Amino acid sequence: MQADVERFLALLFADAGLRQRFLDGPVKTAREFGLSPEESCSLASIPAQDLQTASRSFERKRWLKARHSSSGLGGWLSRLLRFRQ
Amino acid sequence: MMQTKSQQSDRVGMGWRPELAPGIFSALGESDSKPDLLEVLAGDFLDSSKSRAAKKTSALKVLSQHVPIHVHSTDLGMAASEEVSTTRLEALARLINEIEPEAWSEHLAFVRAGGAEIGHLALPPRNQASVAATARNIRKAARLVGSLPHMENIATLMQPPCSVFSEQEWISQIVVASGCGLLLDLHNLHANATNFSFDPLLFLDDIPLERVRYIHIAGGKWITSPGGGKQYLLDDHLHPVDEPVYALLAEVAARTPLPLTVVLERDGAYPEMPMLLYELDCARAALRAGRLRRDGTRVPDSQSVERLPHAG
Repeated sequence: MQADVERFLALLFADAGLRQRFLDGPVKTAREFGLSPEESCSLASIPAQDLQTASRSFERKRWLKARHSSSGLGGWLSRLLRFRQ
Repeated sequence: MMQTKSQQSDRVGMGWRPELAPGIFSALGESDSKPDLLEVLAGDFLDSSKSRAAKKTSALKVLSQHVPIHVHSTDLGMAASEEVSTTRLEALARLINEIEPEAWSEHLAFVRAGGAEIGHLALPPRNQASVAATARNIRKAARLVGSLPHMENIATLMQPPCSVFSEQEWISQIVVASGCGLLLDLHNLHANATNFSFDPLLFLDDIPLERVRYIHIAGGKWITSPGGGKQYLLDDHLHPVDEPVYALLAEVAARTPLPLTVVLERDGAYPEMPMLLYELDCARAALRAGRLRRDGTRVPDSQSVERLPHAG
């Protein structure tokens, strides 16, 4: 099912341990998550480099998001707009 | 909301970022190259603290009296098979009702599934199930927010498994099924075309350009896969707009009669404001070159996109 494939993809991107297990045995790992043989084979055809590069990019985005603080945003706007009015 | 029906000419704006605030205000007041509009990130104004959210929204409302605003949302996950969250949509709806932006937008992506947060935009399998789910989510969003979003094509470093449609087939079917507009991100298109070896001009042949009123431009950088061996063009919004992106902008302007709104996205490693304003001017030049080509006028060398100096 579509939702199961999306869930599995999300976990692959977010969980380095699962990702390594998948790279070591893609069809077996996907099947353990209840995916169909067709879905598992399709997932197994993802080039390992693409999956690893995409996952690294998502990891960096999560790190940036955690670091991002927008608390000063309203201050910037208020101060500058007061100045302009 | 959504004044684009009355928009008569092409416009070029930029993403609002707090770090750019002084430069943007200065440009709005003085510069000939000033942004025609600003695009704000919805997430920056949705705060769990009601008083902070109210303060931010009120400041944004004042800003919207000086310059047209678009609201860009990034975390709804509209292309997920899970139903888009009513709570998230209601928060966005409150912001939009308060600000009354010209338009709002989201991505053709999913960002979480089964409780796992990806942290950014990912492509679901491109098949009939995701077309139906995305169209359903877009219709729900339109119902709660009060207007249809413009939906953006995303950059990907990995082709989604279990897919039966090409990217352009998938996008076209969602646009038709939902009635939404298409926010065409030209750097995402350029990056995907580069990473997966397809012709971006053929991509433009296959998408409903009549639904494109809104365009993103940005820059990126080359990265190497972990362990080496493969290179990818990453859409990171941290570098000057890539030259092929201006060429694609001219191409879109040559192909559509509709007025276009172009937004420059920059998310860090900020240069001085004149450099960003220069990129807005490059976008304007690309639009002009495309319009001249559409009208059958020979493009003077000085306005040729190929001759645009590179902002980097």
